[in-house]
Amino acid sequence: METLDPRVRLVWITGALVTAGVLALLGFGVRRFGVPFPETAIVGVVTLAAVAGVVLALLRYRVWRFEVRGDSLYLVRGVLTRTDTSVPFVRVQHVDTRRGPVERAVGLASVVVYTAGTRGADITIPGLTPERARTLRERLRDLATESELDAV
Amino acid sequence: MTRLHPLSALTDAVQRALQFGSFALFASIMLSGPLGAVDFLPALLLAPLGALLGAGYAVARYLRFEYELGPEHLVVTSGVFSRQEREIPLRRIQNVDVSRSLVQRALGLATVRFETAGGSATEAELDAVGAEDAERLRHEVGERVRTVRDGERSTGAAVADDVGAVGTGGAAGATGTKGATDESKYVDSSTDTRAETLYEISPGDLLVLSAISFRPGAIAAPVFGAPFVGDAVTEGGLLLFRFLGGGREGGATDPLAAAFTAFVGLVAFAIAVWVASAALTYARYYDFRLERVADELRYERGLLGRYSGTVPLEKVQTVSVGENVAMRRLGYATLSVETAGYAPGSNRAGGAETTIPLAARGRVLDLARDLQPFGEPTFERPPTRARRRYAIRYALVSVGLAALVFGASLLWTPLPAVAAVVPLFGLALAPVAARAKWRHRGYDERERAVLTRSGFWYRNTRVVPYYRLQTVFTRRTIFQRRWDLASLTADTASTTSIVGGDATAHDIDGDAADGLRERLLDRLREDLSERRRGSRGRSERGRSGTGGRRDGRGPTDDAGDEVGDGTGTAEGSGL
Repeated sequence: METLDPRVRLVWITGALVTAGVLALLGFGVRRFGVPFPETAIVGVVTLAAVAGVVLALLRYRVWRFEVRGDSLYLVRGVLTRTDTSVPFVRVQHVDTRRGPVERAVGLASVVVYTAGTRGADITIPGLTPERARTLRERLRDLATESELDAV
Repeated sequence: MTRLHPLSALTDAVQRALQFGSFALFASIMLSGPLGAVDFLPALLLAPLGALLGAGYAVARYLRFEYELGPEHLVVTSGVFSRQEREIPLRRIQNVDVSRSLVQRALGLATVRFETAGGSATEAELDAVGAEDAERLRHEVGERVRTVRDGERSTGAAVADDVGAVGTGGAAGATGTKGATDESKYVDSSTDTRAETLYEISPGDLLVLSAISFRPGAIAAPVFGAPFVGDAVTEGGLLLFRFLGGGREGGATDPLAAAFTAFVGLVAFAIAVWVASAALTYARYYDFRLERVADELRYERGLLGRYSGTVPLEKVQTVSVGENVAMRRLGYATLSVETAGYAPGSNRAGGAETTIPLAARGRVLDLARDLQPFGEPTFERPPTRARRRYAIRYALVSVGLAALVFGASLLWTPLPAVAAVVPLFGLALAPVAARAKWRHRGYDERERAVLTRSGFWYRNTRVVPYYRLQTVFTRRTIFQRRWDLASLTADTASTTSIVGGDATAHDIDGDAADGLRERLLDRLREDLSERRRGSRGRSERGRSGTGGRRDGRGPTDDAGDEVGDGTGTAEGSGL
């Protein structure tokens, strides 16, 4: 099973810190308007959110794995809820690579697999090097096309 | 190019005049009153001015809206300020829906909506045309769509369109251009399409349905009615209290009287919701009928407004049989189909169509089997440890509620701390509830489809044919991992999966879940290749016009065409 690039933790941690920052802004903003939240409580909550976010990011990295199997793409992810996902190649509509701003700063990319399903409409594999993302995308596309032709 | 019906301009004008006029009135009141910017009398002129503007706009829209039905396209030009011309290729049209509100019925109008495959909104809307024109349009578009599609099919490789008709055994899907003999029994007299009535709700069933259904919107009724009848209810409650209580006067400070009145109020509320719900259901499903026309299911319903919609059979993803507690006791059930495509018009609940609102369970199962064959299911329930898990969960909820009530009683003195005991009664009910929940959950891996079932108050049994499977997930929450349980979800292309729930086998054994996931993927592959082989064989033999498949396959034989945009596994589509 393939694991993600360790740098993806930076991406996730950045996300967690941004969320904590937004919470802090909200908390202090609300205080400005007169709601009596004690300052220590806001700081406490924000710190808790930040710490939880960081811990989750680290744990999430340890769980995330994927594998290109015979007829499907298999992923394992999730800390609180462990999800095993199997995407049959014959159901893959198209595959994209995507690079968000934080990803680009860290030098990573994601691959997004689109199906016609609703819950699994798009499956994202984050934390890949741009080179790996490109080869994976092309591999998945080939497998998807092959599976369509693969009939009697 | 034809215009819409002139009366629609009138109704639209009235509507917009009221809209613009009242907005202008509000604005003028605001301007002259609190804002004090303008004097009152001149400000009042804004209202009729606004109304005129509204009416004028409606008339302009009417004059600028034209449509034309050509042999291969439907062309609609519209727009007052920004002109828009839209050309819709007929082969993209999946459904033609005709709806008639109460006002429209009085005036002889109807609104026609055209929906296309995979579109995110109604592709074109003719609001409103004459009633006969609407039916004619639907009929003509239907015929031309079929002609175009058949033309494509005979030139391109075969996309199997075997639609072994329900009960008649003939391929009702063979259209006029192939010259197939008319094999369906019924001819719809008004539109002369080969329509076969599958189901009509009987008055008795409609009453039963109204009595046992719950419409969430019904809650609005007592909420809005409370100001009017609230006093009467409290007076009535007090009277009843005095009558039953003998000597007690039931003054304002009598807690028992207050509790009793509150109880009476609650009962009145429940009754109001029930009556409103029944009325809404009755009006919604009045004269519900389900027909099959070629390769579509068509339903019609409504007491005040009359609505009709179509379900193209090839878009059907899953079939579900729903039964609430009352239905199970009485031997009734509901049938719904879930389709791919995203067009939630006013008549669609996001892709799930109720094809049979209520019928005897046997009848519902028969029709479900016509759409997707499956035998007598034997459900595999979750392991017994799941029951213990549910019991613990319910017990925790009871304790949690008790703690909440206790905490609230500390903060709010009128609430006695003893009230915290009430939720604790739930502890006794926890094992019963757990057993009920467990009993109605399960899955069944069958030859052509997988069935999942869950729910006590409303039990939903979903049939997912293997060739409709998309992604398969197994989920394990922290708690499930402790019990070595997992939930498996079979994703499909139907759009209700997000809101209405999906085909999930809840709380199955952890190892069994992984095995099941692998097997489902295998079956998907096998089922798809079998269909391809089968359809190629059929196209080589040539169309014989009689329902070919005798292996119990359902009428929807399009191989894996889950979203009608030709991607995925549409064989012969120019690969």
